Amino acid sequence: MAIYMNVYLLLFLPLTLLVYGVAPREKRWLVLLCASWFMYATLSRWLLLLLIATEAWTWGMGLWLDRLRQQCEAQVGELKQSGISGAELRTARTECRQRFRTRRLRVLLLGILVLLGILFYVQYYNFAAQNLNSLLSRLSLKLPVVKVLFPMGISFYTLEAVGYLADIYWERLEADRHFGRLALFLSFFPQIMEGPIARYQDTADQLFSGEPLRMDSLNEGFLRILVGLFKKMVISDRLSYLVNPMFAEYQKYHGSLVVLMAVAYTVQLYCEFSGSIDIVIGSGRLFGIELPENFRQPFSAQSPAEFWRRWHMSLGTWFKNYVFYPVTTSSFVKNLNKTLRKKYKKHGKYISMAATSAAALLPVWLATGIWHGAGWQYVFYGLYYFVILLAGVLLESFKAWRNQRLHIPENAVWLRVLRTLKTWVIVFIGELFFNAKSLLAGFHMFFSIFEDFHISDIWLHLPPKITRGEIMVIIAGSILVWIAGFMKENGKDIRKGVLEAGFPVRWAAYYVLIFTILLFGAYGAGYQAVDLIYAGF
Amino acid sequence: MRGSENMGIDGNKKHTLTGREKARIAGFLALLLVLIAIASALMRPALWFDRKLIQNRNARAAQMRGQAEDTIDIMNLGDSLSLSSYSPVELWKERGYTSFNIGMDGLRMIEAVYAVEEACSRQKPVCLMMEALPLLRYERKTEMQETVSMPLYHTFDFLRFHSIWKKAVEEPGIMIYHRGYIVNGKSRPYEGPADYMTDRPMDDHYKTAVPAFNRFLFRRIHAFCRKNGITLVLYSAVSPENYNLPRKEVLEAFAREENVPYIDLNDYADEMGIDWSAHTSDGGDHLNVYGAALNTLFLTERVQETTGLTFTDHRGDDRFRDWEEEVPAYEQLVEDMRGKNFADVRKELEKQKEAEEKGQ
Repeated sequence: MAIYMNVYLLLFLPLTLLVYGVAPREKRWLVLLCASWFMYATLSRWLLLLLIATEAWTWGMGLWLDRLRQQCEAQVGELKQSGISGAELRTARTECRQRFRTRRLRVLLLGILVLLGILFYVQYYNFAAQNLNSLLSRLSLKLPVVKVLFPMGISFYTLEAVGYLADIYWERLEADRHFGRLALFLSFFPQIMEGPIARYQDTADQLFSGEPLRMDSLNEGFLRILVGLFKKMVISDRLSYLVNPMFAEYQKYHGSLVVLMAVAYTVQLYCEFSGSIDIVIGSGRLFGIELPENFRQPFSAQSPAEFWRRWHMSLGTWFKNYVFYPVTTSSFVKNLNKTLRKKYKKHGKYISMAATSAAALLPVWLATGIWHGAGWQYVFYGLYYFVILLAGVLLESFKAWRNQRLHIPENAVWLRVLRTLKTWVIVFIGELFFNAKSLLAGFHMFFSIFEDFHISDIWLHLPPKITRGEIMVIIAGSILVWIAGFMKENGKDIRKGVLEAGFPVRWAAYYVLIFTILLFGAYGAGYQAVDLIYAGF
Repeated sequence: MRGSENMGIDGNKKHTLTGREKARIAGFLALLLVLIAIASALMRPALWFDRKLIQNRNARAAQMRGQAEDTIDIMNLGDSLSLSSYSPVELWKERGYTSFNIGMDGLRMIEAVYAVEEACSRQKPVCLMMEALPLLRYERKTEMQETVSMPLYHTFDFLRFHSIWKKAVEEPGIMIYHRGYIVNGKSRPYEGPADYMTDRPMDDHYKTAVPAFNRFLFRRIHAFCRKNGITLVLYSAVSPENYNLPRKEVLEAFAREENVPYIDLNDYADEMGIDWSAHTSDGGDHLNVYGAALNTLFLTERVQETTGLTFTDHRGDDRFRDWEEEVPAYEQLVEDMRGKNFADVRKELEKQKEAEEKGQ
């Protein structure tokens, strides 16, 4: 059972809501936890045990980290009362803290290594084994390729668990003594397949508090789910008839058709992922829970860096908090900064800025790429953005100088449009590689853009599975989504407007949306619902 | 519908839904159902669009609705194996019996239940012949999805035929159904072993035993048939690509347990006169129209022998004039489709269109 399936939308979600509504407030978290584990069991069956084991491990490691902190505080307290004072006390206290910091770091590393080890094994072991085997083919060494069951959502809940442990280590939060609360945070059913990746501080208490069902949150949640279904069923799922066959037989396409593939896949991915997140956030809202947003009109971005601040925001925030900042503030980067400034006196500031940016961005983007899957195309995807973002940082001062010299106003409309279009092109190219079967296929497709570019040919070579009627629906739907995004970007939120309107207008809006989805959505007898793209990562 | 937000002592929004709010939710859902029911009444096949426009899994059900009441004696249920191997018009030509293919490609058991119940709402067949392969088809996610969907699709035509709008902006479908049968004149020989009912492994996704869920649904069909005086017969169509000895044994045991007659046509391929170099359209997976002609008569006779049923020859009966009238069109189509199937026809049309567009 997945969040886009009618079993979820028509049975599971309403039933859970009903049971949640009638359950006593202090037991509502239990309803959510049981529902979450039940849904996970329908997705990954016995791998539910792995999820529960992961939750138990994270809970135990969190408590251990907290206990060490308490022991440290107790020992420091004892030192104060032991009668020593002044410099001697300070030294003893520092030594004590240092000792415990090392022990806590070891515990943190153990916790994270086990979590990431499981993720590595199920997600990347075969990829690593295949590549090592081909590298070491001359030696008799050969790693076995194993059949691994994929636990749904492992990439998402692992990052949440790692973030939770890291936050305890950094003393941003105290370990949760209640196993149920932590388990619910890691396995909340709408989130488990595709995120958004939440921080414990942001959602755990809300999930546990058993908020009563309220009409305003029911309205918000319901509308949000409808919007998500529109994006997924009317646009994305119909686009899969175009995108999937074209990427599967990419060798057949050149020029304008490859451009179409890149654009169509980007639209499909956006509508699918943001649509699913709408369903997730909407599901949460029904229970009065506010999950973090994952998208903020990404196609209004004027640079690739801004695009990534608006696209899959929860992943970006996670990498920023748990990779970028720790690397930036690490002694290695600090020393590098110092050394370069000293060594290159004239351009030291610029060179050190370039080097430290590269040192901090490389692990973030490499990890972002690899997080998406085991394949060289994903590694390339991460490095592609690393290079582009680094270039953006390096050229920042040049751009300011150029604009000043040429008297180009920073907010000129034409410049903004140009920047947005440039960002789109960069994103389209990135997605072409991202959805390629392999890195080689990605390069093949990219270079074939420059062969036989004839826009008039497009209609003649579309896959037969997609009809012209469907293309018209996709275009109309995409324009509607774009208009809604554009208006929101300019301070007019249609969704908010509907929610604030009187009930006749609101009901009319609901019915129009429902009937649009029912009439133009991809579903029906024998229809194989398109799996969520990000659920596979 | 927005809640008046009562504040609790601690300033939090405390209250749950009021009775009025609950009534509004109920009202909203009730009105939604009424609107969908109205839309369904408007979306009924043959009301403003031709049944022939429906060319998907619902095609046969839509055409079944167009059959005169209580005119079908035999119903053939199953997936593409049964649909490609049984030609009702052929049976009419030779014996004067009326039959209809009510299955669909890749039929799932939950669809089978609804197909039988729907078809029998206006017909009183004597016999239901069910091809057995769908009993071994099971995929948890799809079954779950279909189990929730089927009652909705069968209650609301709007949901079932919603994609008919596609036909408004493209050419109508090209497939022609003759009482649920699609003529396929293509021939691609089967080159495997002549004796294929052995222990050879099958490389497909079918289950090795009938899943409990499918057994439960089969029992529902069986009970329905018993209640309505319909004789249920289970059979396996001739198909080297889909049957081997272990599979036959599983189905044989199942039929015994369920107390239903079972006919494995793979045992009679030679007796039937199947020539694997000419009577299959895709290398032993499905029969073509020539194989279907042999299979239809043989299966019907075998069913009569096994069950002792007798079917009525309706030739000459005025109520069945449309069957008589259909024969020349069917024969012409068989002639036109010599060596090809409808996928080839579609390709021919696309090439023609492409040439026309390039010419412009």
